[in-house]
Amino acid sequence: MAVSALHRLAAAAPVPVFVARGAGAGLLGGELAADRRLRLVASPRQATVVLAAGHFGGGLGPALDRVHDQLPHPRALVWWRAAGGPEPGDDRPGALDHPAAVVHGPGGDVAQVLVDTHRRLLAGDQATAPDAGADEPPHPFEGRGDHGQGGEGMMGGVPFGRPMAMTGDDRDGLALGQVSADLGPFLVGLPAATVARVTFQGEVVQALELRPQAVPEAPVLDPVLARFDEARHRPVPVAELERARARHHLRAVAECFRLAGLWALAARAASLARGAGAGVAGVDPAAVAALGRRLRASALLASWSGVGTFPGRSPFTGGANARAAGLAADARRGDPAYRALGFAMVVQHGGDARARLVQRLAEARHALELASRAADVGAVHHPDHPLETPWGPAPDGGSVALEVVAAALAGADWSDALATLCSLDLVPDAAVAPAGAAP
Amino acid sequence: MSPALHADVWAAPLIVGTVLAVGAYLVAVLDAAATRVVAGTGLAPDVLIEPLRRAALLVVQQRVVTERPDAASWALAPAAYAGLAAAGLAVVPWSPSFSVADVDAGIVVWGTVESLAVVAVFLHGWSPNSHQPLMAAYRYVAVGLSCLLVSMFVLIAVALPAESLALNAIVDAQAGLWNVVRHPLGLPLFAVVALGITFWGPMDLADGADLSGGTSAEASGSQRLAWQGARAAMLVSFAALGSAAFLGGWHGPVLPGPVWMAAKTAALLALLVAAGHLVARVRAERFVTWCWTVLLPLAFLDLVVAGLGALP
Repeated sequence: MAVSALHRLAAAAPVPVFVARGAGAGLLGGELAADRRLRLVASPRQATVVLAAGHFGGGLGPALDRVHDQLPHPRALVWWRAAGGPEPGDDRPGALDHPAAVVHGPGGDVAQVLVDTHRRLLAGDQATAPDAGADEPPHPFEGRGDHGQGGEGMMGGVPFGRPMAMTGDDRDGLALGQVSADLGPFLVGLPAATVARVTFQGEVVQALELRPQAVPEAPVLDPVLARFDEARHRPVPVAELERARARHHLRAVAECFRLAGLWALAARAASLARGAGAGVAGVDPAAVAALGRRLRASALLASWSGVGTFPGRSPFTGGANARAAGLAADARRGDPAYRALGFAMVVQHGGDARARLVQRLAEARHALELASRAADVGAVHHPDHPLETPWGPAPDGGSVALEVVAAALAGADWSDALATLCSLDLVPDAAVAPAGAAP
Repeated sequence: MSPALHADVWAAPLIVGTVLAVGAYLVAVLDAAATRVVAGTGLAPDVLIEPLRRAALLVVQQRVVTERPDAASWALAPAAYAGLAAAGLAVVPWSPSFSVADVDAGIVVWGTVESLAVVAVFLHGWSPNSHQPLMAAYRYVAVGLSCLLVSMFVLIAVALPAESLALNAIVDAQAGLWNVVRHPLGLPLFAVVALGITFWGPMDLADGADLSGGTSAEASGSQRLAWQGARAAMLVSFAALGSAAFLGGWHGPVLPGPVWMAAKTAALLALLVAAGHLVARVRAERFVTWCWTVLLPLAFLDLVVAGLGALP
């Protein structure tokens, strides 16, 4: 009986959820931080449920399987996928073969499904999920080489798929051990569907390659992505566009808070993002201003000051990242509907992670005020007018080759590199692959 | 030295263990409450039971073992960290006549506890045989070692007015004026050291989200429970020492000494836990620079102020 009492107690715990961001999911999964019945965790080892948000074709499939198999038992997977759209083909990852539950569309109550799944698991009504992948080393190495490590002499080799640490010159001219690792694609802060291949010396990123995973065309789950896609093809009320913009920027701020260890403030930002998405009641811009005050008091701005500043001219020609670097570029200025609303651009200076964070929060607040004015006059954006998405002018403005970003981050501490990437919020899904990049 | 009542060899672990267990529970409750308040999700009575629910979940969860870990060190790390927390708490006096272990050089014991705590955290990152925990371990060592020297100056500064390294005498010497007033730099510097060694909140460089949970990225189930418990216990020990060394320990009107100690420890805990939700994690490199160029000179200034004050 004691065991069942323990299980009942465990079933009532906030559900530790690891969010795996698939194609078409944007930052939607991060909004769940607002729900106090859930706890978004940083490592799959800490979770009972992995939430597979979006679609997982191509290179994301094996990554999902790996993350799934890292969860301790009892464990389960909940798949949050776009409503409609084609069923995934044969390349569907094994982890999605038998999900504990499937939620269709962004409107589903995924939080409740996660809670129910967790409770069923703990009550024994839901069987724990078996491994999706084979439990074998990803690299054949055993028994090869002088010491069975796969390399020559005492060095080299790739045991368990992880290259052995070798020495190399560091930024201070010392010969120190180098460790190479692939991080991502589900690590907080990384661009969607991107693996960071990092060569570390201590915490210093000696070399970085951002490798976008080949992802087939996938239906869109995230209402923000869907709204801006729609606006390229048909008239959309400005109020809806601006609420979607605010929602996105608030989520991006929430991600930065999570990365900085400010989990409670992340929950607050996620809650505001949800409010912005709810539409009718909306969210008070004053609440966003209050979040800005918390941000300033948190010392995060001071900490990120001077982090991720791109040398010389900003590589960003549009979008919030360009405006954070002082570039006065915003496609909304060319839209008569916005001009009629008295649209005024928000710009920062500095172009570092601090400026980008401030810019995003300021744009969220500004977007909510615009939405309110636009709703009063019924302003509508027409598809033949310029469209500014949260990432820059449509269709792909504001984007930047990942290799440019990666090159700028060599020599930085890993935490600074990740803070930079998180604050950049690089173009989702269609992550801009440099020509000829390997998947 | 006042005649002290010593706990006997059997009662000592029981007393220290109980205080640490209750304290760790209090830390978890305060943490849950602070999360709710800062997140704006509403404070409710279930914060009292939430830590028990989370602990129960970790008890029933599988303890995953990685490929070829250093299994003995992995199991030892939380035990060592909790053991050091217990050793630190044992020398803290709760009333003029009671401390679990009335050691003549309590402050020196604390210096040892802090140094060895750095080793225990490193072990926790080293043993799973995994990249991110190992990187977090190295990062933590850089920060931990930087904190140690600051800690040494700050703790010597509280010993000067008492002209003794014994914590009992240090509390005694605060009968007229608490150290927090006598040399006001001490407590804030000590708080930074406490957050640094317990890698809490703004100083969580060992278990941060940027390394997928750092040294505990691979820890699940009972391993994680033990580690979380040990870390909360260490925070309790630091808060208890802070109360004794800076906030006058058992001194206070009306209420009995141990009640004052418990209240001051709880208040300090609340402050440290709240900081975790209000202040962002520092950058390791900037903190280390800041520690050597700003905090260390400040700690030295604190020592000078305390020394001048102690002159006859």
